[in-house]
Amino acid sequence: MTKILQKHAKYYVSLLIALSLGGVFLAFSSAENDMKMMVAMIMAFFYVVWGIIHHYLEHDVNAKIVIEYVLIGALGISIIFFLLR
Amino acid sequence: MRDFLHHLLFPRESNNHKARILHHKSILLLVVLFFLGTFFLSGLEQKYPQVLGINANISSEELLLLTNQKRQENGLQPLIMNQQLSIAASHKAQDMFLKNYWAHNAPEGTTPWVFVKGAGYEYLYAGENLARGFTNSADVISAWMNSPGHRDNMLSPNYKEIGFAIQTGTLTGDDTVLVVEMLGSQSKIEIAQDVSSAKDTVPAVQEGKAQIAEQQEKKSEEQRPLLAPSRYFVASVQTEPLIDTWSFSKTIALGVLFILLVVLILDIIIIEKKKIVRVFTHNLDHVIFLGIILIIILIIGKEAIL
Repeated sequence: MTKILQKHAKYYVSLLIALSLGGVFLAFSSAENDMKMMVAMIMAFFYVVWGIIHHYLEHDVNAKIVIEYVLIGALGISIIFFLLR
Repeated sequence: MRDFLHHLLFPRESNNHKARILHHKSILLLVVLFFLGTFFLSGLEQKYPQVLGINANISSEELLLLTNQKRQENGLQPLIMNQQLSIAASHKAQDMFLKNYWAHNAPEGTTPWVFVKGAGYEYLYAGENLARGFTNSADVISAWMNSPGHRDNMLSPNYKEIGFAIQTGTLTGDDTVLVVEMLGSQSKIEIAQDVSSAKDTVPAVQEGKAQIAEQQEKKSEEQRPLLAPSRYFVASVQTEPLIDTWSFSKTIALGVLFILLVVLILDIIIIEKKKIVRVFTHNLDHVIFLGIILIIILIIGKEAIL
């Protein structure tokens, strides 16, 4: 775990910063629900793209990995949608 | 049962060393269930509001009592309930639901003062506070008192009277309880009490803030809206469905996320301990993404003031 964190530190920091920005908007903004859903979708899209780029740079990107990121991103969107509907 | 849970939650040979709940088909099933659940709950809420809906208990009497408590604690005169201001607040709330906006001014620019004047209230000073998504009167007052602009409105010596509207409806895509508070003092009362101070008052108009005061002498020629008799007037909202939609949805979302995060973290630990080689080894990415979603859901609230 520690090894993984050390090896991919810069990737994880970039992911944390980007997702936290979206998270702060979603948690504290009084924007309309449609706008919040849009931000949730942007966060999920960023996560998928980030994951694919990360694995591409690690030379281990494949269809299964892409599907896994897409599914986890979709799960995030569906949960936010479930809450904000 | 125990074996099934083990198969579902822990990596082992029977699930190809990856907890069954983390398999693509299982995640896809969760996604579909959340989307279907969204529509199912919305339908249930509309058809059986006594079973699933907003749990709220807000009354204008309690809001008045709490407002006056705060005023008296600060050495100010208590406010008197004014029906014209309540009618103005009620029409403002109707307008907000009808035109679907969450703002002091309507999309076409109608100010709150149009409703105040429209209700026949000849004001010297007028102010408006808005709140939505709260479930009880004390929380509404507490939120306003914690916001400088709203606090100034509630504790202004310029106001003598108050009116409230509390209504439920769909606002900007959200089923909510809306509270409109109109504060004011009538020109004739003010002038009768202190003519010289009224003349010397400098109008303080702070755009974008809750507190807005205007001088009677500078009244604009805004057209008064056509007001129906006070059939829309609502003094309180007391709804107690069997299940509160927001709490229910939040509990389910948090529960699923918590289980997934625990399974993902256990997966990382077990895979590393047993030195199992897998195609996908970056569970930490999912932990970060779903962890942030979990934090958002923990913090996010329906309450807002304006």
